[in-house]
Amino acid sequence: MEQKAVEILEQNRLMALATVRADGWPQATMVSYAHEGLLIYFVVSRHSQKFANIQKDDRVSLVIGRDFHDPATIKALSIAAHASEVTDAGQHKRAVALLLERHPGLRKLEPPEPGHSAVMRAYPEIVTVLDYSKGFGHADVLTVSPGGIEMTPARDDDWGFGAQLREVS
Amino acid sequence: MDRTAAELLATHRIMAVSTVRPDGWPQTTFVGYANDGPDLYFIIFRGSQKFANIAAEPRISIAIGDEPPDMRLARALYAGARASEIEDPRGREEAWKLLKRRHENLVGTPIPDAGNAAIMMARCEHVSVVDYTKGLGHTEEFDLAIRGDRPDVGGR
Repeated sequence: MEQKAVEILEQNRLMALATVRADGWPQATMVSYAHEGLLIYFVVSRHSQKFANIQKDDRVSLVIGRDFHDPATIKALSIAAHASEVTDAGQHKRAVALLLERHPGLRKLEPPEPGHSAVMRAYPEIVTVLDYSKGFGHADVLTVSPGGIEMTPARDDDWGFGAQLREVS
Repeated sequence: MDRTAAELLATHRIMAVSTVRPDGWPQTTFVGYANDGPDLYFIIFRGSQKFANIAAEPRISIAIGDEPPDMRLARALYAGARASEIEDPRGREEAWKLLKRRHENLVGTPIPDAGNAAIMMARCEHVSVVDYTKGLGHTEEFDLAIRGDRPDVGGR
């Protein structure tokens, strides 16, 4: 199951990242990412609301997936993670290399200027793996802890649609 | 509403919806949606964490955008909105019609049972439009309601 989560991370490059503002309002933005196993790297501006939110509360939520034509092909991840700035020089270098490899378009831009941009990592605590090929609404939950990864299998939320949903022509 | 914002809302079918759990942890999922101007309609499972979160805290955040072929073409829309369930049967029918128009796979499907699924409405209040076609990092922000003023949601 961990492998399936990693595959979904490999098949996408963009995630929605939610943080919580000081006033309690959630804030979602789209962010490019790279990953190393389940560890996710991304870059944010130090002047962004998002960066301020994470500094105050490191709990973030990520969702990764894409629009579909056939509901049965939905594969997505919803992740609860702790985010922090990458301060270790070696990890920083590796994160930037992975981000550039994943997003060659970024090579045309200036490399992240440490005074302006922060390289961040998000370490998942709970990963919900949605795989509708196993049934509409099928979701398995992975809990990541220092002791390893534990799986809670198969919740199906079919919203009462059952098998009635069809492919989009 | 801003033209780019209107276009982004009209040309997408899924959005990331972020809610806040009672323990303060944000929670994000994708949902299919349809919109009528700044009003967003979507369906959530009544037994879901998301539904419980919104019942306790109606302030949500949405993000719409997709992977650009080139960074310089990146466009996205973010909005702070307040969500509530549409309980009025006529309002549910109207929202269902909009959802069917946007999501062809719903055509011919009966409206989901109100006991299982809640039809929700969220009105965008604070909107940010990211449009790198106007320059890298170009972002415009605007408010659609007076801050702190709860818009008239639900039961349309």
